[in-house]
Order: sequence, then C-alpha cells, then structure tokens
Amino acid sequence: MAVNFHEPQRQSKIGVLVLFLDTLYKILRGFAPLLLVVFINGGKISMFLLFMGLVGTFLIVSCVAYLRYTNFTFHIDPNTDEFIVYDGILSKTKTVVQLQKIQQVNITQNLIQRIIRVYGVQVDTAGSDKHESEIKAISHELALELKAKLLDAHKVATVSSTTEVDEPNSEIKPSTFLKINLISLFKVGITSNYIKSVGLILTFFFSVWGKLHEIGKEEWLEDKISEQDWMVNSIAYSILFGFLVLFTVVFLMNVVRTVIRYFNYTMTEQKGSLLISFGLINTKNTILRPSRVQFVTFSQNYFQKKLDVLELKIKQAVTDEKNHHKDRIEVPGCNQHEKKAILKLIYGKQPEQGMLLKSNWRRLVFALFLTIVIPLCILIPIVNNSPELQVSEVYGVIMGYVLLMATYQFFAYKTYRFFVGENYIMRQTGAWDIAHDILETDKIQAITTSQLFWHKSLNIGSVTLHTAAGNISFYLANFETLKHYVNGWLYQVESHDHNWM
Amino acid sequence: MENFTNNELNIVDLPQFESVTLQRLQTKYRRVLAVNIGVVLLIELIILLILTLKPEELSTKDVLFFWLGGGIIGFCVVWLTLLGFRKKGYAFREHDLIFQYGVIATNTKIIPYNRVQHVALHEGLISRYLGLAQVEIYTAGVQGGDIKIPGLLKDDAERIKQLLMGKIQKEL
Repeated sequence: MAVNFHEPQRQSKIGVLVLFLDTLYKILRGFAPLLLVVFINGGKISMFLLFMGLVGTFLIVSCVAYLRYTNFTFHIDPNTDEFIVYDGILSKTKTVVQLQKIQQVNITQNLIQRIIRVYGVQVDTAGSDKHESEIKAISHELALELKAKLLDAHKVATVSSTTEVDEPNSEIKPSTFLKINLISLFKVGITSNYIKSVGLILTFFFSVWGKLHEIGKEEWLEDKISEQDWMVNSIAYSILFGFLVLFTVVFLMNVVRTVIRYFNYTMTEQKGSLLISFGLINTKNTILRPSRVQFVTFSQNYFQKKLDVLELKIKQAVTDEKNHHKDRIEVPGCNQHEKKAILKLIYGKQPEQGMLLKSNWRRLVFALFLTIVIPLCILIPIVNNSPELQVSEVYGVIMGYVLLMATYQFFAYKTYRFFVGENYIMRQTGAWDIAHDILETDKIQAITTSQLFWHKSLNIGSVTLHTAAGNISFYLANFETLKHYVNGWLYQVESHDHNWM
Repeated sequence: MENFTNNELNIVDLPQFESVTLQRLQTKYRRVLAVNIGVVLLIELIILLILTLKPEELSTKDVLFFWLGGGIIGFCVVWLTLLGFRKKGYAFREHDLIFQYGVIATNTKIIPYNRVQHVALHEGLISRYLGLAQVEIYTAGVQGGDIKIPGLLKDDAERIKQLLMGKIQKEL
C-alpha cells in the first residue's frame, strides 16, 4: 500500500469513533461534579428532560468528534522536510516538526484503540518531554509506514550524526524487557496507597458537600446520614461497619486506579535505553536512559513482601523545572527478579550493600516530640477550654493516636538505616512501607553536613547529599564516621571525572 | 586518565574537609547587615506603634507586654544576625569549595569544582557603595545544591569567579 504522505492525510474513518469516545470522556470528566448534583436532585427531573439531555449530549459529542476528525490532517512537506499537523475546531493549531529533530516515533494503542483496532502515533523531539504531536487513530500499516517515512528522512539527512534513533524495523520485533500483568497490578492495588485513597474519598465527600452547600442543599446529605438510624443503635457496630465500608471502597478504588493508570505496563529495551508505555485511557510513554538516572527507590510493605511485588521509582535528572514528575519513572509492580534485571540495566551490576550506619536514639525522641508532644501541647488546652466536648471520649481518641503514633515512630526508627559502600550509598526508611534508596556516589552534586550546637559534645550530626533529582539525608548519626564518609565521597567525586548525566 | 590508579586507601589518610581553616567574611559586610537590621527593626516598631496606640482598648499591662515582646524579638534579630555573620566562613581547596553557615546548627556545604554548573556575581545597592559583592555558585542539585558567599571584596569575588570559570573550562 503506497500512501502519499506529501498530501494532507486524514485519520482512518473508524477513528471518528475514537474521537467520539475521547470527547465523551473529556466532557464527562469535566462535568462529573455537576452531574452528581443533578443526580442527587433526582426526582425533580422528568424522564423527558433526561432523555433530551442524553440526546443533546450525544449530538454535541458527535458533532465535535466529526469536526475534530475533518479538521485533523497531517502530511510531510518534501520541500522543507517538515512534518505538519493541523488540528482544532475553533482555535486551530498548526504543528510543524522538522524531520531532523524527531527523536522518537511511538506507535501506541490504548483500550479504546484496541477495541476499534486502530493505532496512535506519537512524535517526540529532543526539546521537551511532552509529545510534539499525536495522531489518535490510523491503521497499523499506515502507522508503520508513517513511522518509517518520518525516521527514514531523518536518517538520510543525518547519516553522520550520532543522534540515537530507533530503527524503523525495531518496532516489528521489539525486545520486551518487562511486562506487568493484571495480577501484579491487582496485588499492588490491594496493598498500597491506603492513606492516599482515604484522603481522596474525604476530598470527594467534602467537595460534594461544598457543592451542595453552594446550592443550599447540604441538609439533603445530613438527612441521608441521620436517616441511617441503625447507626445510633450501637456505636461499636456502626464503627465496625464504617471501617468495613471504607476499606472496601479503598480497596476497589486502589485497584481501579492502579489498573487504569498502569494498564499494559510494558518496558521495551532499545539500545540500552528503556521505552516505557502504560495506561488504559491515556497511554503514556517515557524513556529511561541509564546515564540520566540519579537515584532509585524501591519500596515494599509486609503484604507486598508476602506477595512478592515491589514498587520501584527511578528518578532521572531534572530537565524541565516545571515538570518534575516527568523525570520520575514508576514501576508499579515487579518481583525481586525483575527488580534485579532493572538495576542491572541501570548500573551494570547489582549495587552492593555497604557498611551499616545507624541513627542515634535521640532521633526517635525527636520524632516523638514532633508528632506527639507538640500536638498534645496545642490540643489539651483547647479540649479543656471547650465545655461542650465529652472530655473522656476525647482523651480516649488522643490515647489511641498516641499509641498508634508511638508504634509507628518506633518502627520507623528501627528501619532507619544508612549503608555506605564503595560506589553506592543506600538508605532504608519507613515504618510500614519500607523504602530503600540507592544512590551512586558519582551522582553527588554537593554535600552538606549539619550539627546542632548541643550535639557537638555528643558527636552526632546529619548529612545531606544533593543530587540532580533531589536530596537524600541521614540524620543524627555518629558525626566522626559521617565526616570520614564525606571525605571519601569527595575524594571519589573529585578524583575521577565521571559523567553524572 | 591513563596514569590514574585507584588503589585501596585508608580513609584516615584522605584530606579532611573539617580541618580546613575557613576565611571569614569582610568586616565591612556588617554595615550591610546593620542596614538590613535597621529596616527590620523599623518595620517592627511601626507594627508595635499601630498595635499599642489605641490606649482605650488596651490596659497598661497589655501595652507593656507588647513592648516587652517586641523588645525580645528585636534583640533576637540583632543577636542572630551578628552571630550568623560570625559563623559564616568559606574556603577554596584544590578540588572543591567549602562554605560554613548557621547559628543553631553548623552547616558545612561542599561543592566539588567538577560539579559546578555556573557562577554568578551579585552586588546590592549598599554592597556596591562599600565595594563588596556576593558570589553565587550553582550546581545541578535541585534542592539547596547552591552556595551563596556574601560579603566578599569586589576584587576577590571577581577572582573567585575567574578561578571557578577556569576550573569549569578545564573540566570541559
């Protein structure tokens, strides 16, 4: 099939469907809180209006999708060697990418595209981390041909250049490095991010409440809550039930979120770099270049250890001040074996664990002071001065908090360890989710040592290692030992000229 | 790099950053600090006056309390700034630069020359009048990887900048 890319091309006809669903998704996302409010007002809307609303939405979305389809064209200008994309309905955009500047062409497929059997094409240049242009729906042959054309011209133009470009045929037989299946994602979903999810639920609840408050309907929610009169019958029972419901919701949310976000997580090896793509609705692509990696963090909690999954975070040097997260690569669930393979790819070997350094017990005391003593000093006078509060109950809650926090801090202190090896520095932190940071000595940009004046006679102090992706600190260890290490690190950084990026 | 060896070495034999004699900032710089303190104290005074110049709403005890508190804060500002000045020091070694600062905690920051990204020279209004300048040394470290050395003689600052630029050039 010979396609003339010199003429403006449209996406494949069936692609209208992709655009339809995409538009629908965006509209739904934008109007979700409003829809919820309408839904809560429920009874007052007649079936007729609802029907009209649905038909209207359908028509509008169809029109938008059709216009997006007709207004989207792409072609290669043979005279100037440029890839040109026209886009937009009301505000039109013309994207021009010089073929020489193209670093990468990705052929992607998310769930919708998979169902409709079309492919997306993303064009990346060196300049920024976001995609320069994205085609949403073309057939596989067309995608392959376009990719070949885009990269072909590039090769002709820069035969002598050393810029890394993937071969067009490498797409046909990519060497898959790692693929995370649904079971692993499920495992991660049920074992992580509890607190984040509880936070999200609370935020959602309060935003709905806020919206209702704005239209003067917050009684509705309060009524609904007070309607549940069984709650008052037994406090213990309702608390248990509440926890059960909360945890079920949290589990479900975590699983759904993890699956949507990381669906079909694939790492493909390509000339020593890793190409990563994932996502159910929006497929995201990132590149991991081992030389740009600053430090690696992997974390695992008790359940995850039993299930043999761990989460890996790889931090690359910050290239774009505004988009820090773009330089952070997350591997949501891999096993020990895969972790080792990734570390081997990044470092060329398994980083060895060095000499153990522990923190002084004052670290635990200080943490307890910050998280227990100070909050109590503020809370207790408030409680005593508010007569409407049931003092005994409040103190029960406070006692619970103190016990929980003390246990947490105790375990956090127990795991807090620093390992200094010949080429690698590792830090172990956390109470439940135990995280390990691995830092190569050569990636150190600057070092700060710090000592409080009353710690001088105790000979304890802290150290902070500054890297191009953030800091790693270790607090309240033997200062003499730390200073020895600092001298060693400085020697290593200064004596050879390793590239840190 | 050819004749580079990397024998195992006793960590005690390494040059020790903690035993380097630090250079102090120019005493003239205290005048800049004095002006800064003056501005802070003036603002504090204005706030105190606004708070206490409505005698009908406040008892004498309250007014006294405000002024006492204000006095203590003012004293702390002066004391911490002066102590902070005394505690600052810097040193340039063969392969790195050291900057020490901090009153409650003594912080020592070290930047190897081969990690310096660029160097900038700043002159404030008062500093320029006194012939002083500040050198700022940047690394690729994203949080607090930079060093600012204030209170240098303009010529010294210029020399430091030249030295660092030379080091960066050599590394490249």
